[in-house]
Amino acid sequence: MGNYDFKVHESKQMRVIIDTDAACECDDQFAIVYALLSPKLNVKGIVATHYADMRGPGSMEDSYQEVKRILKLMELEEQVKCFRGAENQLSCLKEQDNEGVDFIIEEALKDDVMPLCYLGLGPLTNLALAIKKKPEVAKRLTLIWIGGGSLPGGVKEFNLNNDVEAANLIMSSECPVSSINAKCYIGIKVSFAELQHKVKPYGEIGKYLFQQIIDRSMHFSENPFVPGWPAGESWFLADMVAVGIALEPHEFEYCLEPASQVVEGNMNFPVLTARPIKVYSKANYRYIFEDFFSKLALTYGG
Amino acid sequence: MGKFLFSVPKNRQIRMILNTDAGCECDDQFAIAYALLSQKIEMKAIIAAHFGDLRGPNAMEESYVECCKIVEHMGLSGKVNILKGAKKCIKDAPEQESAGADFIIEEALRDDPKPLYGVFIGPLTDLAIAIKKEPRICERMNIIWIGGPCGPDGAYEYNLSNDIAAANQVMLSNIPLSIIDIEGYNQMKIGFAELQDKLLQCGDIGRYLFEQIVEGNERNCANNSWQSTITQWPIGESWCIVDVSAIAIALEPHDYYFEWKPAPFYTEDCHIFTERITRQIKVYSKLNYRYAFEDMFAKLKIIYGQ
Repeated sequence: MGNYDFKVHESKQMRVIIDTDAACECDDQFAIVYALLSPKLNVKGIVATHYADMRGPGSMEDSYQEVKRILKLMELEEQVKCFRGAENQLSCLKEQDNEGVDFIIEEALKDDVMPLCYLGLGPLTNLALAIKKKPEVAKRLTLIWIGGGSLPGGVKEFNLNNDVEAANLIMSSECPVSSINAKCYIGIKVSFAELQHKVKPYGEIGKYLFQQIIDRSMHFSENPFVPGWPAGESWFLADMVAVGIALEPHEFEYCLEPASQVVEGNMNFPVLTARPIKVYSKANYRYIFEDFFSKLALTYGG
Repeated sequence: MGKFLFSVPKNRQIRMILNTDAGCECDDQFAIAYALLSQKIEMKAIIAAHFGDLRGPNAMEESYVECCKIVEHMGLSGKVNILKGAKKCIKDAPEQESAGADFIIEEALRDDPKPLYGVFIGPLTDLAIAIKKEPRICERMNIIWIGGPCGPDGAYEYNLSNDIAAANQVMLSNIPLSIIDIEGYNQMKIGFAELQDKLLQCGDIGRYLFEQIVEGNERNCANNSWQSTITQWPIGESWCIVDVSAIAIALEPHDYYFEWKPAPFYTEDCHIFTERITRQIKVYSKLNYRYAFEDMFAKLKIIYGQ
């Protein structure tokens, strides 16, 4: 991809699995495109996941179809593999096996010197299933997860709340975790005017990214499920932060904190003896947006 | 060549001496171009600095050649005063001469209503030599330095490590000092895609800035001799354009971005004893990096845009 006049040295590249609840709202789409346009990241496969049953059953399938749509618009259907993952959170699952989990295990256990980065853009059900089935998976990848923390006014953090049990399982495993908490990912705001200006002109995919956010903003404004959200002419593209941190380590934007266990509701109970994980409460949003806009322009510009 | 449709009143202009280890890696080049494009700045001299002897004894000479190259790509050959600084750190050569240091003294002692800023984007060697030779300069100029941790623990920092004795000498003086520390300057991250997208439309200098960073990235990835000291560096398809932040702070005071902290005193392994020195310095651990980048890109585009 991309008409880039630079290359990424092999020793600096990484393998990537994207785990996404793409149909839930409108930011996963941007993150998927951003990752696919980044030469440092070799996307080995995309696993679709659920977003619980908050809007009825079938959320994983909707996510799968959304990923397919993006790949088609980027003309990457042949090159990038896409898998169906878990249809619901661990506690509601009848079937523990799925093709997404098998793929995660296969990729994680593969002998490959290139490090494997797992971008968790939704709940952690698929990774938890893979670690349950093959515990050695935990130490063979690094998880960058959009999730954790709490929202203003006691609103539950979405990705965590969609599978608390899975998150607890990962936190008590040996899997290295970078958690991008709500405070961090809510900060990555962008206005529709800027998206019209910098995304819409670039290819079929640019047009789609812009239109889907406008349409969904209208839809969620008429059918609100979070009070006061969305704002009207802006969005926060939460999942973009995961890609930005995979590309650039953001050495000064995180703290090491004990991996916490969520006991009830959305309360975090830090277990002080627990292993440390990286918790990001800020990120370099300018770097992420400008890098993404430039990649779109270089790849799809005239 | 385009031109600016605004000017900077004389009483808002500053004099600048820019001391740079431009031969070291790929970010000084951006700072030099940015400073030379800014009307607020009257550039009195660019002084080439050493960067230790990790890559051989000719570091300062390499910086000198690089400064000349930048100025040439900007079409400014012969119009900018480029001088040679000290070849070694203070510890290895306590009594060395430096044309750069002599110029700092001369300019600082000259009567001129425009305030003088010494902007150091490498080690502090030439400043330490100048202060030792003529301590009166301390009352006659401000220093902005990229380098040095200022926290209680200390840590490896490149510019500091290239002349710890010089840094200590500057800390012990009373020269007004602003430091952009490692946390502050690490915010100046930028992707190569953005540089390609924005610089290739900015003439010869734009092309050079882009190509030298891509080339520097390939060289440093292939030859990871620095990896023992700077983990995982470089990252792959991005860079930290550290030195641009010093120019931005000279242009815009960033009033709410610094803290007053006790001047550090460094041990030979970069650790800090703050209790040795009583004076306070300004330490920037955050920056308005959006302002810095957008201002630099806009200036390049206005003057060199095609």
